[in-house]
Amino acid sequence: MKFPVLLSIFCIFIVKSTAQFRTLVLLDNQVIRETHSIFFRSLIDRGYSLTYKVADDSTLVLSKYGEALYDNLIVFAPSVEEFGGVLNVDTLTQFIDDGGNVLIAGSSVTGDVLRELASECGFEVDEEGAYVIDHLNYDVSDEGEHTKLVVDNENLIDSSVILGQPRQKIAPLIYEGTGLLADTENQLVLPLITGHSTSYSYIPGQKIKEYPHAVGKDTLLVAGLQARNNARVIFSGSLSFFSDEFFTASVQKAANGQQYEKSGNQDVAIALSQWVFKEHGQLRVKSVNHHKAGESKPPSEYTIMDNAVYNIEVEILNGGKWEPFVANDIQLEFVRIDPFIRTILKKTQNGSYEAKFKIPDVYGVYQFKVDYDRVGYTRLYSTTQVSVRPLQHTQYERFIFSAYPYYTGGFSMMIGVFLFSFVFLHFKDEDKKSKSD
Amino acid sequence: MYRHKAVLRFNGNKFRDYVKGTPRNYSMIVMFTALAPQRQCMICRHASDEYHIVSSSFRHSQGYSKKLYFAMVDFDEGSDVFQMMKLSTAPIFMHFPPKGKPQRADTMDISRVGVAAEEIAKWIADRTDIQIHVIRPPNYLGTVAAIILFGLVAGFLYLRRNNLDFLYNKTMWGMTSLFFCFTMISGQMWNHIRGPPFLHQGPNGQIAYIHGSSQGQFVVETYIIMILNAAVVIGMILLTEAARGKRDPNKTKIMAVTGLILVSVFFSLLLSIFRTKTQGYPYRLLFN
Amino acid sequence: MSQTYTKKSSISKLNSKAGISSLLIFVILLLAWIAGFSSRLFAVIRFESIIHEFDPWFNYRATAYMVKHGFYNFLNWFDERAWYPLGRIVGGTVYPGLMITSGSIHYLLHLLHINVHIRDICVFLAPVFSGLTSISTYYLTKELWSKGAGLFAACFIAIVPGYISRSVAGSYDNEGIAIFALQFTYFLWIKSVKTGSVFWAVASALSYFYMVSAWGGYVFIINLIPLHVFVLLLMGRFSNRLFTSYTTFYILGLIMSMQIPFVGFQPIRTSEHMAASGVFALMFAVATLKYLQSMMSKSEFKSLVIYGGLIAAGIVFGTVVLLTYAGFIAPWSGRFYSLWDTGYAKIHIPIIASVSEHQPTTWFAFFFDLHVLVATFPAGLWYCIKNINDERVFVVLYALSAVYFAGVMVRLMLTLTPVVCILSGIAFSGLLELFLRDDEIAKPEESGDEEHTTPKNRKYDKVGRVPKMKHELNKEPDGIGPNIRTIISVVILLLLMLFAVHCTWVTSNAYSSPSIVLASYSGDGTRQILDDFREAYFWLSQNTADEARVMSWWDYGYQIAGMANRTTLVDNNTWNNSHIALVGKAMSSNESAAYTIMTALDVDYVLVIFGGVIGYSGDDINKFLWMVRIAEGEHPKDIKESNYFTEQGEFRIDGEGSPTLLNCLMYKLSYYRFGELKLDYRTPAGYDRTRNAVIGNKDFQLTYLEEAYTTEHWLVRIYRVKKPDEFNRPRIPVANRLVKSPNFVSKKSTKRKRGTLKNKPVIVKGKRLSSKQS
Repeated sequence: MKFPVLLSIFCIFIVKSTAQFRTLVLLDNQVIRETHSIFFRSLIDRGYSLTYKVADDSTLVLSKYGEALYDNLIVFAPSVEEFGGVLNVDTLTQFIDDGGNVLIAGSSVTGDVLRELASECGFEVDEEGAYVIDHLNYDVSDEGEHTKLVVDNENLIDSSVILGQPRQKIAPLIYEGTGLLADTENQLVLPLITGHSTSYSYIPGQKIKEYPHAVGKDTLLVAGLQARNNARVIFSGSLSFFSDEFFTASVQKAANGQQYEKSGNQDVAIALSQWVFKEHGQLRVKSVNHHKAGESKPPSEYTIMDNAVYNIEVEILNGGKWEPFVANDIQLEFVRIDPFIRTILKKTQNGSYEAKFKIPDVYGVYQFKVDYDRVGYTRLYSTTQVSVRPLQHTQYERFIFSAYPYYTGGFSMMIGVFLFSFVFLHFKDEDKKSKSD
Repeated sequence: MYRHKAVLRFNGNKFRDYVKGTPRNYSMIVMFTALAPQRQCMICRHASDEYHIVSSSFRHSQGYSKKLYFAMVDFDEGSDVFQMMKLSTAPIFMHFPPKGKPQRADTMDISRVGVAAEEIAKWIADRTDIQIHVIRPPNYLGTVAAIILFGLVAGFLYLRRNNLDFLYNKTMWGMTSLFFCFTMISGQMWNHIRGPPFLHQGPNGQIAYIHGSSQGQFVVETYIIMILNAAVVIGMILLTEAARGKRDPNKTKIMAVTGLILVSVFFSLLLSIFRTKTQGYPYRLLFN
Repeated sequence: MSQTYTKKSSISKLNSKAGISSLLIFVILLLAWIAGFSSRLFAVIRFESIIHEFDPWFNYRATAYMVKHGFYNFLNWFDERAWYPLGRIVGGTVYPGLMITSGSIHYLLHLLHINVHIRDICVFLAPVFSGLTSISTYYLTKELWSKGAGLFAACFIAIVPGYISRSVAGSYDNEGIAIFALQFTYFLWIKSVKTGSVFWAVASALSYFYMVSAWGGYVFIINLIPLHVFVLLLMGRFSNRLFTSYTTFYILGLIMSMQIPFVGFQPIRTSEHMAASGVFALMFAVATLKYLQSMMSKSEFKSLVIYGGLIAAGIVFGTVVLLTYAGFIAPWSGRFYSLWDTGYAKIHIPIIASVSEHQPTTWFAFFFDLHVLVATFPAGLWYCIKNINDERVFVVLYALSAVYFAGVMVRLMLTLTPVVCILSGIAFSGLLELFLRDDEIAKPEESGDEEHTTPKNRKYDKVGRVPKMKHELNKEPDGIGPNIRTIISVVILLLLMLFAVHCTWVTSNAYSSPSIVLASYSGDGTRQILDDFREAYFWLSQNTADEARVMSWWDYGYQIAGMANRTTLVDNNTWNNSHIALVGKAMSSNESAAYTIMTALDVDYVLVIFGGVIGYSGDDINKFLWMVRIAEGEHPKDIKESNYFTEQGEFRIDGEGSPTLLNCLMYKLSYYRFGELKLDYRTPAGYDRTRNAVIGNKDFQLTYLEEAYTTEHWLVRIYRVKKPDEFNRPRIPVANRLVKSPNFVSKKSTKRKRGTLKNKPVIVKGKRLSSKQS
């Protein structure tokens, strides 16, 4: 009864709000909205329009008539076994494949659908009831199971794009939740917060009969994925990581702890939300241009041994505006199956880069490839196909220097025969005449 | 022991010691063969020659190492080995890797690739990653034969140097060229390259001289075709010679009639053989 | 008075004789042209005017490009849509004669405002040139023997199947014009040797230039003519005529042949051309010796000639060997060396060995292509040897070398056909001259007017016999009465008629299928056309992006480029063996290894030919072993041919087949979804009609490709390669998961869309919530 009215209000609200900020928040129950208010407040302050729904609501929908209704999705419903409405693993992966960003928080009682979703993204959530346990790094306020952990800032990923500031400046974090497993060899998976080398993930209170699934630094507390289409997913093993309680708590290790007034949870959580919803670290190519040295427009085809000039302009999203992106390690490859030339692009002006090189003397179909893939940034990939042709028959040397003797010989022979023909035609044979007499 | 020979001969005990014994850090290639004359195994002899070529090439090559040894077991010396390995045919080449049991691919598939030294070397390279460049002992037979032939021709020409008219004998040249043509057009090159059987004996005992399909031929078949072609040509030449006249009329008549019969009969035969090989060919001359 | 009267009447008789004979020759040659042209039109009449086979498609595309962009752009054309990503320099790797010929005809006709489309010119070029070939054969044989023999030879070559096989309408290939150039060059050469005039020698050099631009078989000419000269020198038939003609021909021919970009510097750098240079040097040596002979005494000369000759020959031979050893002169290229050492190609160059035209020839092929000519040409050879002179040495050498090469390789039957026609023409002409005239007036050789020659061999005209003038003036009784003569003539005519109908039958049944359109005939004779190839290429051209790259086996490269107009990876030119080996490796590996190769090469689509539904035996599975062999040649560690056979050494695709074969990409692409197809009620599902077996690996899915198009009779199957972007997330499949999750059964239905929460708090009215949820 109330729901259709609320829904229509929210729809109007969504239409009015700008793109990129429409967010659907799925909750276990409405209480979470209160217990995590600081986090949601920070989002709303940055301009996001949040739609709160309970996870089993039967009217949940992400896209309508092929158009996405939301850009981002927050799932703070760790105990959901099955979403309501049309949401299920397939629609959620479709959402990610269409470019949507997702922030998921689990807990020790993570529901089935979230486990499936995590597997689709390359992580695995540890078993039902498992916590990350660390007997050396637990907080003073831990209740005895050693599951409320203090995580130092060395266990954060070393990327200031994701964290917003260098990680040394971040206070230790409090974490209580389950562990995640991921294949850290995979380039797309980012281990955002790992456990200490002394942590492991197991059901607390149970005797350990088999090797735990996640041990030491392989225990991921918060894992991230940047998919090939640059959609970002963050999976946190703990919902309480984002709670007001942890944001405002003071941190002290029970073992030998220095006390910190405020944990680093708020800074990290806000930075993570900025990263996952693509406020930070989003690059794009503004323009690409290539031409021969001395010209300005791209030719229909290059010739071997030409001098080529390649320009690219890159921008980064900063505070909602696109600004020139400055870096000094963007490389250009000139590839025909294997790269023939690989050089670093030099900065010319802010955000624009240039490379000058000589095209190799092998003809073929080449590609100018710029593939810039750094941790925390979206993948910048630009490829332009050009063909390089061999020399035309008019482009060879007209007179070869080492053949001059032969030219001389040929021409002198021609002149000689010409003169000889005069002599021959006017020569009279004396003997013949005397014979005929 | 190894200093003298490239291929070691094993009996049962030595086999068990060196091939089956562990631990080993070398691969062993063993040829199981039966070279005694009463066994009458022709291919064993040929395979053994090739095997010796491979082992001596290995011995003299740069890749020579202690990782690979060559051995052979003859049936008469080591029949217990044959029983142990459950082998009933010969020759067989087997590779025993340093660790583990020999697998299916460690027995060389002679029926498919043959016993040539190059194939043996390729198989060894496949199983052990040791490349052996096969060096055949230079075969002087060809060179000697060529020199003898050259010498004979030169001597013959020298002896006949005063009377070289035989080279001008057009009939001789004509016969040689015609013979060459007949050889070629009856498909001898195909025989040389593909090596077909002489003729084919069917399961009921009937002998087929002509290959059934148009893609193959037998050796007998090519000889038959050569004879038929030659007959047609002789017939035509007879006919032409007959018409030139200048001999007594009876002979001319006989020549003409003979020529005609030769041409028509043998060409019809040719056509009928052609018909049996083509499906649906509708034309014939005298015979079916 | 009477003298003048007889003179006048004899003159008038002569005029009328000459007039009649030239009219007869003209009419016969015209009819031969028409017969040759019409007999090549079977395919066009039965199907449509379309280019056949594979190679002609490239020639057509090149000609179309030349007509559109001009000659210099064609010469400089760099084709980036073939051999992606290597590209192909077309101007430098093709014999331009064919394109120039069609282009000039097109230009001339358009100048006269007869706007014929270039495709029609290309389709009908070969039949038109067959007529020109007969005319040049006539002239050649006339130089060798007589006009009558010339007419016979012209008529034979117009309809002989050996030549028709490569020059039907629609077969737009080099051989169509090359045989004409060959015969014409030989005619001019013989003429120049006979007359010794510089004019004819220059003409033959120009004609040789045309031949070099037309076909790679020009190597045959440039080795046969020096061989001819060499044999003449050995026979002691040196003369000034020979000297003039050969030296002029050699120098001009050498310079002109190097103008073709494809030939380039080969004439002075490769072993195949060294014979010509060697004979050139020898010619000068012999001429010097002859000149000295006129100035010295006999004994001095004899010793000089022997020692001088031996030393000169030794020096020349030694230089050539030294240069070859040092690498300046390239040794015999693989294609020509395999004619000498027949086992060479199978081991070292499997691509050459795999082409079906490069197999040796059975006697059946000889008889099939040449019929009665193959049985009678040795008679002509015999007579040429018996009555030897300078030009007949040439034809004898031509015959012997051609018959050897034709025995080694089926494709070279084409070079044997002209000489067989010439010699059979000589044989038949010699025979019939004697039997069709009753008066023994003159020797039949070298006589100018042949009033009793009878035209032969057109399928339209019944043989119209010129009524014989039955003069009963027999000088001597020749012994062969008129009855026997008649019988003999009738039998010979019967043989020739059999020849004509055989040629027609062979042309109609064997050499007139376009091979791009298949036809099958059902029991009651109705014809069912299978146009799958064009259907697939049309789909490609309409439904794929313009820069899409298609990977297929090299046989179909030209057709895809010509009809679908898409970039291909490898095509029939086969110039780069490693690239072909890469494609072969991709086809022979399993799906993930093949996907790595395909992404490295930027492949968008894969095309395979599958004949299992209609029983087509030229499909990719039958060619598969060649793919494996070629791939193994370059990547011996990854691909081993023995892995694709069963343990007994058989190549099987059913359940007994080797697992490598049953999981390779080619197998999967051919048989995807085939396991569900039931062809008729008797055979089980998945029965392959070409291999006559049920396939072994039936229900599988493709991970990295998806099916794009399959034609009506499943003949052509096109698949799209998925881009890396489509594998967006690193999904962990159920089999690889470490943590086992309990299976959850969905409780949702179409009506009830409510989800499930595990620990949903139940709000009970009136009670305070005791614990906080975290």
